[in-house]
This record gives sequence, structure tokens and C-alpha cells, in this order.
Amino acid sequence: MVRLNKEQIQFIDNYLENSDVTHLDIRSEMVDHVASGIEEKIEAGDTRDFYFIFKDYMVEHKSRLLDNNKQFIKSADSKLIKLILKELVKWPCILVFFGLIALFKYLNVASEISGVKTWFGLLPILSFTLFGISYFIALKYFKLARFSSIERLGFLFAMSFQLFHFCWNISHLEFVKKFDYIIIGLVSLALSILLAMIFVTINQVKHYKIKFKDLA
Amino acid sequence: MSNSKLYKGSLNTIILKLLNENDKMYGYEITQKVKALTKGELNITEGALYPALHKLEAEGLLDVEVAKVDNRLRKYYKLTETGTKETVNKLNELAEYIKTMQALVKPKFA
Repeated sequence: MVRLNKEQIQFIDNYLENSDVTHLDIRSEMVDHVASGIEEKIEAGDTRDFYFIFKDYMVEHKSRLLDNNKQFIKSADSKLIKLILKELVKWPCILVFFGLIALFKYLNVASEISGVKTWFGLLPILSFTLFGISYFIALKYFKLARFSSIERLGFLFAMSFQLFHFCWNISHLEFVKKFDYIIIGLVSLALSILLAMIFVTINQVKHYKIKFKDLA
Repeated sequence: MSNSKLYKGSLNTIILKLLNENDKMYGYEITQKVKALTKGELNITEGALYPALHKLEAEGLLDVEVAKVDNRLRKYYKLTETGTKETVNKLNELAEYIKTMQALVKPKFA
């Protein structure tokens, strides 16, 4: 059985990484596919140097492999949205949602929305900034592998910030002020979504740690 | 994939069926197995196979296992409990489809 050596595998990995297949969870699968294809060609009697076989293989398969990368990101997005929605209907998020409604109503925050803005308005941007800084440090200094779901969650965190932004933007409207439950409900929902996303992030990190334990 | 339009709708069923017969399989292995079983008639490309596998995984029908094999990481797919049940449904659906098509293409005259 012909098997590619470590350097040849690393060569394929670098090539795909330089072709914008940045996430390890998809790249590792592509590396295995390309390597298996090349090994099969060698076994079938191709005696040329590895680099020539690799070049020919990529000419034939590259566009399909890169398209597969795009599809994978889409699939990761839809998986994450489903996970967040699932988390949102579990009791911790439901409890937090109704708890926040009761708390905001008790504190009468709808009539004093400017005070709430100062505190809760900072929460998403604060969590997003912390997430961004830790991810930057992890990539730049610790050279940790990039995983699709974790990076896409960063995008969803950014989106959740827009939801808060929307709440603040409509909070001054007269008709909204008349129905303070709208603001209270939206802010509570936004915070519950944020909590659901934090749970999903923790679960995804655990998932990758278990699935890619052989990476070390 | 040859005759892609005809085979495309059955790709998920093919994957589920193969995984039902084999404990776990990796992507390249699936393409080779299909090629061998169909004597080269059906060639599943990576562009069709992996999106289908990832979709089935996202739907909770497949579970993955990553192992270090031959200097690289290999992602194995296996059926979940829901996946095993869905395989039975998909195979029944496909059998019905084949029966209907046969009736249409080769109608029995009384």
C-alpha cells in the first residue's frame, strides 16, 4: 500500500490553506481526499514525481473542492442557527427570558430606557470584543487551528449586536413607549439569544475538543 | 456523477445505505465503494458527496469521528440512531419510486 509521507501531506495542507480553505474541520477532510486520490494513482502505476501527480489532480478537482468549502460554510451556518433555536427553547433560556421580563418590569426600565442603554447596551459589544480579542490572540500567538462553527459564531455574535441596536433605535418612538412590553420583550429576547449563543459556543468548543483530540 | 440528474435525488439514500452496511466510512472510501459496486457506472464527485454528508450531519442523521491515519486526519461518518431509522424510510421510498417508474416505463398490459 502506497502512503504519502508527512512532508507531502503538509504540502497538500499548505496548498489548500493558501487557497482559502482556512478552517481545519473542512481542510482536514479535503487533505485526506486529495491524498487518497494521489495514493490511488501511484498504486495504479503512475511513477511520476508526487508534485506532478498532485498538480494534475488539482487541475481536475480544485474547483469542486473549493466549491465544497463554500457549501460547508453554508451548512455550518444553518447548523448553528438550528442549535441556537434549540437552546433558546430549553429551560435555562426560557427562565432567563421570563426572569428578565419580570426584572425589567419591576425596575420599570421602559420608562427609563436611557439608564438601561448604558448598561445592557454595552453587553453585546463587550462580549463581541472579548471574543474577538481572545480569538485574535489564539490565532496570532498560539497558532491554534481555525474551526468553521467557532468563526461563524463570531458572525452571529455581531448580528446579535444589531438586534440590540434595533431595540435602542425604536425605544424612543412614541407608539413603542406606550407599549413598554415591546421594549422589555425585545431586550429580554435579545439577551436570551445571547445566552443561547454562549451555550452553543461552549458546546461547539467541547465538540471540537472531543472530535479533534487526535490533532495534538 | 454520470447521469447526474437521475442519480442526484438518490445520493442521500445511497450514502445512508452504505453506512448502514458498514459501521463507519470516510468520504473517499464512499466514492470508491460506489464506483466498485456500480462497476464504474456511477462516479460520485467530491462536489456532490461532501455537501450531502455535511447536510446529513447537520440534520443529525450522521455522526463524525476524527482519527489520525497515515500522517493525516481522517473524518469517519457513521449513522446515528435517527439516521438508522431514516435509512429504512429512505429505502422504502426509493423502492416505491423504482416500482412506480417500472410501471410507467414497462407497463403491464392485461
